[in-house]
Amino acid sequence: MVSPVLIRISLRHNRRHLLRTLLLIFGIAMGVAGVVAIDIAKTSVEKSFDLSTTALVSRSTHQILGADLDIPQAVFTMIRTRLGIHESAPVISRHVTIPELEDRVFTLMGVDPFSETHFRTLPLGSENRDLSAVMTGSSGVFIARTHAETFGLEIGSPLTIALGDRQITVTLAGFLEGRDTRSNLVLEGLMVTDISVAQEILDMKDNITRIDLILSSQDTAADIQAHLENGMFLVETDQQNLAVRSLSRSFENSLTAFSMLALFMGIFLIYNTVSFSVSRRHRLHAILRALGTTRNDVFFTVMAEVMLYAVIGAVCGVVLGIVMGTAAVQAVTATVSEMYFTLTVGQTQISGGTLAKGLVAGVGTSLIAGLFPALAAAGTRPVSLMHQSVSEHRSQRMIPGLFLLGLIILTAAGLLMRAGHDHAGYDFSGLFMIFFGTALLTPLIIRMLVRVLLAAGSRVLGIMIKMALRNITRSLRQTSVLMASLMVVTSVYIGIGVMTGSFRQSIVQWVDDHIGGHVHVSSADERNPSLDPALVEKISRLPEVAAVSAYNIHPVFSRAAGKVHLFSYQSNQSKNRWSWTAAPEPALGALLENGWIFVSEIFARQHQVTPEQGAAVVLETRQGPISFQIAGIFRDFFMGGGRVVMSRETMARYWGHDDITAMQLFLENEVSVTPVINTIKQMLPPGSLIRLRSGTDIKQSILAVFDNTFVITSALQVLTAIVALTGILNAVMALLLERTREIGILRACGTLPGQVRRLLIHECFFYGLLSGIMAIPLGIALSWILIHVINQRTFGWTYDMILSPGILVQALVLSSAAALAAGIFPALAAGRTRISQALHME
Amino acid sequence: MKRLSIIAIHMLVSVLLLMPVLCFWGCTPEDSDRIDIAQALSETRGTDCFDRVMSPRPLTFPEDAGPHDTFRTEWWYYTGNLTTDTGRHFGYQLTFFRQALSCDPVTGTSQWRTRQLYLAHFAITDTRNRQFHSFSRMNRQSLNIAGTRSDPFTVWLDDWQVQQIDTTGSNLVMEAAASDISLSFTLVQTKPPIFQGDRGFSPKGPGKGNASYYYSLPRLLTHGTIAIGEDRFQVEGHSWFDHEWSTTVLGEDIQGWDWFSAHMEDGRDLMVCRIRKADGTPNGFGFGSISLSDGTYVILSETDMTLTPESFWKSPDTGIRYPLRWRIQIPDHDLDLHVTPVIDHQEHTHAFAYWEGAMRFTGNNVQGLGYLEMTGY
Repeated sequence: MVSPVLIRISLRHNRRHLLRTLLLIFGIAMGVAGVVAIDIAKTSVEKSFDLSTTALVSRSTHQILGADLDIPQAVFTMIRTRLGIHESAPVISRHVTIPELEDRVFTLMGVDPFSETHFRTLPLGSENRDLSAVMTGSSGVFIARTHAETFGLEIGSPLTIALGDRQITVTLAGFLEGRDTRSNLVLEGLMVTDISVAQEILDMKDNITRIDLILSSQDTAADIQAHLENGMFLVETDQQNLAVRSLSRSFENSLTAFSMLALFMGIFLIYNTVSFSVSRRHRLHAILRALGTTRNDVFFTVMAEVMLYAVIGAVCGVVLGIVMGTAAVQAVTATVSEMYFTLTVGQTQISGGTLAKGLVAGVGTSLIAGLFPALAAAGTRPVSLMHQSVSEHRSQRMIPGLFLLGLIILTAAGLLMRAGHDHAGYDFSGLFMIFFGTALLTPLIIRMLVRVLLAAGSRVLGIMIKMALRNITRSLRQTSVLMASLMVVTSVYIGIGVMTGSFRQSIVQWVDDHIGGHVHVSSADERNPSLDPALVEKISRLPEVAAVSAYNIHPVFSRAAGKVHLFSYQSNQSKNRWSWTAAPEPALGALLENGWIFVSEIFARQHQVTPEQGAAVVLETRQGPISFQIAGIFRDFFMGGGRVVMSRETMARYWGHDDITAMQLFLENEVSVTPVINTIKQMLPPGSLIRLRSGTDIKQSILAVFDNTFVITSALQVLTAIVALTGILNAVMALLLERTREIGILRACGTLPGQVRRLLIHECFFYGLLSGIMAIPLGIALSWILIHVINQRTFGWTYDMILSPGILVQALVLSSAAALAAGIFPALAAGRTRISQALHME
Repeated sequence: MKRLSIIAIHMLVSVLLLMPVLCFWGCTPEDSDRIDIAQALSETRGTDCFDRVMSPRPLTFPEDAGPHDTFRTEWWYYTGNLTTDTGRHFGYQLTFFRQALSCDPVTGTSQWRTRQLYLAHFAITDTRNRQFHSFSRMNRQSLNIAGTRSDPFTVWLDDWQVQQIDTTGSNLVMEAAASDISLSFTLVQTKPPIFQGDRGFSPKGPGKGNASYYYSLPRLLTHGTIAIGEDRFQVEGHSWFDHEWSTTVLGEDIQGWDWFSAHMEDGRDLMVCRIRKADGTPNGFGFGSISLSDGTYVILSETDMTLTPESFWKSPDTGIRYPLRWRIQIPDHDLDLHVTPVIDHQEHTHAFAYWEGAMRFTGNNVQGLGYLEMTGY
């Protein structure tokens, strides 16, 4: 048990340095807040996915799906009457937008009420009457009562379902109303109706989306599979959900890793602050030891102090994290919805587990960070009371050893990242190791850099500057930690800056390559997206049009990704940038004609396609599973489960689609876009659901989506920077304020207050400058890792690193400015140092 | 008639039919009080446009074997008693109900649209093990998931079905399976149909239209297999078949009915039924028939018979008290029968509880096996 007297002594000490104490708490709080916020965002995505998807397949163990994303309804009759599988339910399911309900996206679910008992609980409110009408002829739908109340809808109110630009009017037949919060949440994302109504709304002819099944034995599953015609297959519901869910998993993991990065920065900060705080109290500890305080007492006093701030910081962090997390949920679910799968229910989930995780992370890392300083404090020998520089001497001797250890850690990090684990956690562990390893290199590098500077500038540099530089190497034990922190922060700034810059530029390039047409013509009718061939022909022949890309896009089922998009071009002006090709580019076209396919990087990753000769992938087609040889893997930023490009013949043969769903027009030089759009508009029949957009328009909207994707990453980057800068501010203040005695001596020797101020300011500038210089190679390495390792594994896409000198200059300015800013207050204070006070111990 | 009529229709079928609709799809027991089912049901649309049973008309086959979709309710009802060659006894019931949701024509283009719903009950009584296995299914007529055809006669719901296998309609096969219980029978008609009431016009109450069209095949020679778990039993015996359709068969103030059928060892087949009012007394429209061994038959009215409950049994599942032991007296035909269940627990406890099970009929000089159905207790 620690003596209360010792605790009080510590606290009193900290009260005198309130600003630094507050900064310490703030830093811990920010670190914890990041972890909590991201965890909230992640668990909310998890919950929203569950409510939007899993809850709707609820008790089914298997599903029958079709290659073309629907199946003939006769399969259901076969399942019931021939195979006698009673626990089976036909389902029609599709996302639709409801303009009256603020354009919310709902899952339109058509179900057979008589088959549902075993599967879903979709309870109706008590005022639902005349229900049989929905089955016999009306177009009635049911939505959650909460929506109806919010938007003032009553039974009988008309509702519009938008499928692209096609609008279908239905009637509100009643309300869905659950008994508990969870079931009500599930219902919020739903528009339920009888399967007949859904089939008519979606114009599905004699098809349905899927059949849900509860199967108790593998024999039954095999029996069903044997009875299914080509193009239909049985999948296990859980596995299917996992496949879809896995699409965004890496993205979410990367967010966690980023939040851990923020906390990691927090460790630096805590270590810095506590160790400064301890070394500042070196005298105090030596006196206490001389007075008979045991090592344990000193150790636990320091740890208790750290614990106190850790707990306060962690609690504040949790609160802050909840606020930030609630905001992050929006951004993260929006990204997941846009990039991976539609979430119809947005749910902010704040679990006890998340809060506990934040608290444990904050307190745990603080204690670990405090451990070494506390041990050092406990190791204070009473005799060292007058020998402050003993430990500094010892540290200086350790520098080569640290350098070696740093190299070893860097090598280990390289090996870990090369191992190619799929989990972002491994990559980020590698990244931490790189930071740590590089930090261990810094003392030696700093010493060398200072020597170089002094040697190079021996004639030019003034005495104050030389003193400032020597001061840096003199107390390397402390300055190197500070500068390593600043270096890491700056490198993170460079890394993320280069990554996002390169990414954006690649997107622009990709958009230009693939969707660079001046005018885009596509069907806005999701029910029937085919363009009239006569219209295609007519538009292609317009005199203003120089070239045309005409293609068809069809979503199809994939076991590994849930849904992928097939492309086939009738005429193609787009350019692929290849990650890998089986043959030189001119020969690829011939391979395509021979039935080979091109796949996007995301597709390749999701389907575990390796870039090698003879690689093949099995796709579910109307003719059953067919193995396709892969001619090339192209870079692609198309969303979802990836895409496959094939010849028209291949698409027609295996999926039965040979239509045109979209075209891009490349105009003759100096023809402006708007008149062409107007000309085409006049060619359209009245009421036609054709969407005409300019290339610029499309490009902007695509870039907006991708920018959104990086909002959360950038926010975490900022958070990381705030945490680290807080630490640096704290450390610089501690470092400079600690030198009262030294400054006293300087002043006693005749140094003017202004000269002292300049000395300290110079020191700070060099902290920043040297850190910035060291950060440049690390930052470039970091951006390479982010782009080629982490991003590729997280999002599945590759792009080239584009290094601009601007970002490097910015980084230098950032680190110097941050260190200078941190030094201003201590420098001013140092200038006011009273000699007698500073030296009264002498 | 029988069965499940009124309440059968009005409650059993409708409740079952509409319950999933009411609790849309996938009701849990706690949800069932979300809505007043009877109230929702009373508002079923367009009953006025259904055909009604107003007067006798000749029933013709095969047409009248199939569905009569212009009437609101219809059922095809098979019950029977069977034994193995070692004398082990089983009872079975396989019944199909059709209920129209509306008499308005169906609109819309989807083949899922329908106004006909089917409900089926399947039960096996395992007398030696004192086990009663009961299952219920329901579905819409769409896409041939359920339905009826007149020629060749077929009625089915999922994979439960009865199908004519010859041109005359006197040979049928029957298949039903649920969980690990199944039956697979061949049924051969041995007597001509009995047209109940007045040439098949069977009044059930004093009101206009309180009647049904109703015929029976009293004695179907039945043999085949019953499977319970891993065990399979070759069985043989007799089945009774009823086919009945109507729109407003029962008037108000009707509580339920007690319906008996029996295959007597002397070749006679008996059917009697009384309809009870809310106060428990017969409504005066009881009915019955006796089919003689040569296939001729006699129609009975309420005044020809006396049905007396002798002892009661309380269901441990529902708490309902049923009269399980009866005395049936038909003096004109010298019948004084004591009727006892082969086992007590033959209660169906699906959405609507009723008791229907295999019975022994023991008389002064004759005995037989049959079925009893009791509703409205």
